[in-house]
Amino acid sequence: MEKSIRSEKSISSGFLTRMLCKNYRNGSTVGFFFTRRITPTAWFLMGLAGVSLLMGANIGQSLVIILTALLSGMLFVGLLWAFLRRAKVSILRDLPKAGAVGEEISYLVKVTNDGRSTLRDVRLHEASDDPRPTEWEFLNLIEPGEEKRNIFDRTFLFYRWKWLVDRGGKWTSLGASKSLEIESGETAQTRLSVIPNRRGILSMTDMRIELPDPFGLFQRCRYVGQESDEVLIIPKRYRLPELQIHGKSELKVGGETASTVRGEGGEFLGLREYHQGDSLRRIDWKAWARTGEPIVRQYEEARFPRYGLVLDTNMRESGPELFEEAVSVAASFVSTMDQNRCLLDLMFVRDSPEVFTAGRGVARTSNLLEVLARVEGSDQGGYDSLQKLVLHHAAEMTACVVVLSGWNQERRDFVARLRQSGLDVTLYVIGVGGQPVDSANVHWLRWDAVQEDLLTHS
Amino acid sequence: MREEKVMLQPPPRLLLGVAMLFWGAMGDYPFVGLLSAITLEARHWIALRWRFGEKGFARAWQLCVVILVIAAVNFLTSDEEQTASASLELLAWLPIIFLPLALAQQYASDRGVPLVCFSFIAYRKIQIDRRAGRVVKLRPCYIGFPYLGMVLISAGLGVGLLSVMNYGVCVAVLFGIGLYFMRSERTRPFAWVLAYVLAAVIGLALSWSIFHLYKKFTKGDFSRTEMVESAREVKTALGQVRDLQLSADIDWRYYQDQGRAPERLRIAAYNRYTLNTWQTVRRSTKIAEKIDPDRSAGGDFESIFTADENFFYEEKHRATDLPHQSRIVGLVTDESLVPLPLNPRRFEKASVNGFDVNGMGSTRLDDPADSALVIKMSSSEQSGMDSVDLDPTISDLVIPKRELAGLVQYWESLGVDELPRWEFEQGRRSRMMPIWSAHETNREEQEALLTYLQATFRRDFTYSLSRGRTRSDYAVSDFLNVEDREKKKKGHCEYFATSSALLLRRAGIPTRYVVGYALAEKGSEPGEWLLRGAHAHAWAQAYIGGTWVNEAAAEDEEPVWRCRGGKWVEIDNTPGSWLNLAQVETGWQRRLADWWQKAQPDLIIWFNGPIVSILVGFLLYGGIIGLVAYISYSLWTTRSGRNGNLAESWERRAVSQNPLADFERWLAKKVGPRPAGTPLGEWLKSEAPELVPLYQEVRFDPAKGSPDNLNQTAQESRERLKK
Repeated sequence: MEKSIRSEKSISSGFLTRMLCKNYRNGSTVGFFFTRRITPTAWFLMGLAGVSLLMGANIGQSLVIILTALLSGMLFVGLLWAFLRRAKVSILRDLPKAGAVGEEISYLVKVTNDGRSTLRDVRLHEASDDPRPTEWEFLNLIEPGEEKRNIFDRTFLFYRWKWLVDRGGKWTSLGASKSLEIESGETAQTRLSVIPNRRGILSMTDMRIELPDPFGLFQRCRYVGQESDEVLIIPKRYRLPELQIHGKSELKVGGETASTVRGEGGEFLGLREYHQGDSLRRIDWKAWARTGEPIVRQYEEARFPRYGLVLDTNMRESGPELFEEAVSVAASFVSTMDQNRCLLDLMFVRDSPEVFTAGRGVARTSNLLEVLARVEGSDQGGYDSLQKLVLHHAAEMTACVVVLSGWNQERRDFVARLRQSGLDVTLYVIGVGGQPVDSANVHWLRWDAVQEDLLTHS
Repeated sequence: MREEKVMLQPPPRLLLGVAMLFWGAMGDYPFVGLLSAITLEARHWIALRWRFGEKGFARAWQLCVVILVIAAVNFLTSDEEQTASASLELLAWLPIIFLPLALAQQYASDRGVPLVCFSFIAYRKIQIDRRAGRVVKLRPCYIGFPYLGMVLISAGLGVGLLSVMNYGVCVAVLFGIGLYFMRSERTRPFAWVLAYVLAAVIGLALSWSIFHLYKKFTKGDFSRTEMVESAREVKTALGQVRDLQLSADIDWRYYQDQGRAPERLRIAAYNRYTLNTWQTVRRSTKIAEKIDPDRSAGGDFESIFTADENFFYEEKHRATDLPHQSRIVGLVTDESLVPLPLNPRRFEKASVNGFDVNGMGSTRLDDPADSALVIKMSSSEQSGMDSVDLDPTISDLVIPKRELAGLVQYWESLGVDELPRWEFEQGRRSRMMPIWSAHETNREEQEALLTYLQATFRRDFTYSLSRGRTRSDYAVSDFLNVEDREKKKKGHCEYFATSSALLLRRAGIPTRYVVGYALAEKGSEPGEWLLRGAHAHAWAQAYIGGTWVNEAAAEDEEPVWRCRGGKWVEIDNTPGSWLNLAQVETGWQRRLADWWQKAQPDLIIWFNGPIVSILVGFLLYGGIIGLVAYISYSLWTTRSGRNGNLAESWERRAVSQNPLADFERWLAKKVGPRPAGTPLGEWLKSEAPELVPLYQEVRFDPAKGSPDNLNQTAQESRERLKK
């Protein structure tokens, strides 16, 4: 029987689990609504009011009810004050073109008061992306160590939900701006920050203006006039061990050959006497002038290895999480390989087979990272076109790194055919749980411990 | 890694200290408040800090919980009848109970207290999560403001009217300051002040409304500081004894060591009956009731005499030999009423602060040392009542107006027509009192009447715990049920006792209602009687043969009537068959429960015996001292500075690991301390350069260096430098 990449006990798709997911989603919605509008201080005061009510219930022997009444008055005034606040503003974001997963993006926001009155004590807050997992994610992604939790936790899966939510959405806001004061018709500037959690296009559309009451207990959240702004987020990159990819000894002509600049290429080795037949271009005229004899410059011809980096974009039987990890591993190779000393062909299938090459004189690493930032997975198609693509370039490649987002028969066959062609294949597979027995010569990377496995499986 | 945001802000300087002073002032413990305030605020002037971490805070929290549990046990077991007050008192001390945690927060160099510390389960969970390699979020929180809230709540518990204004104003000011500093950004002070004034006005209006509603519905004065006396001593409702009778639990054990065992033990007597309820009413204090040449009593609970660890009602019984010796054993609380045989005279060597007695002869404990006691009693002859009960007053004759007709009708049905005239009690239209002066009876007539009444009760009535529905204002008339002669009358002892008391009052005989226990079940030990709930009983006691006299000081004063010269007799008209119903089934569960109910007070008494007390005290106080010493030692060894960990700093480690530490200290006294940041080798070059290579070898190449050689050279250098 073919073994699924996900372990059997990790899959729970029962009715109860779906219902739990739905309830947790709804509960999170309500929680988010209140969290946005009620500050921790207000929760504290409400709790204190409740405690004081209980402890002061014996009115005949205590005066605590005075404190309860005062707290109730504060909460009531705060709520009413926040509810009555109004603001009409528009904003303009000044975003950088690109960012990276896990690296803070700080950007400037210009906010214009379009209302008639001066706004005091207002803050801008970029809403974080929805962190709630999809039903698929809730059903299929297993919290590390979940099997060790008690039966109650394993049944109600709250910690799985919490763990998935804690991962965050595509980006996480790093809080509201400082308090602003804006005259009517005037524009103020403030700075906000977010941390991208996922690669791709980060589209910001939900900027809110927060209007707190004077106590800072409650706040009204108003949507502000804005345009959708986007930032390209390049994938997360892992630290890789010292790479030792062997491959064929045949080196490929390096970037100089492909250069559009005329002239000699290669590393400068030194000077020697002119021999008949030497190109006049190599004569060092200054040295000739100094020595009185014709001297030529000697170069070493630059030849570099050419590597292939094959990314598996097929999400069938693996899912988006594993695919994202595969992209991150591929991005790690792209940014780690010294492209002054090698050429790198990134190969994958989108709608059609695609090859992007980077290396000395060809393209920068950042170009490949942008490509990886935009690459999308698909549930359709097999590995035939990818196989043809790789084999088509096999003759030019020194070696090939293949990153698969799962491990099933289809993928096994694909890898076997590549190896049969004589291509030196270094294989990385993103998987769930421990390494399967039929995965010899595979660098098995657990999807929830990729960094650790990359460093230990070197 | 990004640090987790800390919930809430730390309170501003001095706010907690002022709040503790306020708490001390409100609760009348100013010294404790002052001391707490100083310890809390001293952090601003002391550089000592500790890095507690989640483990340290969890320990502080656990310490607080242990103190809370000990305090709760102490408060809540000290006085059963004052449980509500004890709870309030416990809550009022919460700021001190949780002071360790507050101090930990104040003197911590950590950013807030992790919330997981407050839950044992959550704390265990994060440890499991860590072992499983999961990411753990601790969510720290500054607990300064929650502690402030606790202080303000505790300050408002158990205070009086004079404190209302103080409390309200102080809370508004302190909480207002706290609230202002709870926000990190304070951008609109005027709006804040306006909002706070509005909130304060709303709070004031709400408080006023609540207090007045409370006053209206309870018809009481909320600000009354006088504590209401324990209900059981002064009040009992018909049905309470019956409820007790449904229980087979052993309440007391009575031992007759010498003399004849009484039939009943009396707990309390009551003199006023209204709406199904008997109460004890204080008598007029215009004249002092002499029950002993040296002691006068107004009718309230007053201490009896004490000498040589004995307690006695009258001076003459201080050391006299008395024929009846008995003991009673049971669980007690402060102000527990004691079941007594007839004519108690003396209590011997009881572990109590004292005994109090009221005008009805009800005797209660004053502050017993333990929750179980053995009370040794000496009594005079049991053949008749010669008790310490004060002589009757008009209260012992008053009857509810609505019961009057039923009582008269009953007497008439028995052929007794000559009854005293009655009129309304002065100022009370619901109660009738006799014009007794128009109708005097002699002792023989009264005794005959008692006998006749007892005979008719035993003939016409049966005993039943089930009484059916009764009107509360006609309970006795319904029980006597004169109109339906054919119907068999039934009821339990309380109805027999109440009816007897009211009928005798109507006949002009001062009578009281008494509750207690019947001695109906012998225990396994010689002279032992088990007093179970099922043996609870009610009866009456009448004063016969007395003459009413006006004891007002002057003729023009309002008369003060007392019945003098008679004697109290017990009237128990309940059919003897009631004891058949009081029999307890003897299953294994009952035997087990009996064993425990007997063993429990015995164990407590044994536990509080002198040897065990000393042993336990040694262990307890030893444990506390050990704990305090351990905490002090741990704090001392882990202390650090405001800006860094001094106890574990590299400077301290360097000094402690320095093989020339002694020499350095000695040299520092001579040439001044080594400048901060200067290596020892460099510092020594000027004064003792010969030590430098040896020191380098010992310190950094231990295999080669010789400490003995270094010490020897250091000694020589010291000698040289001395010269």
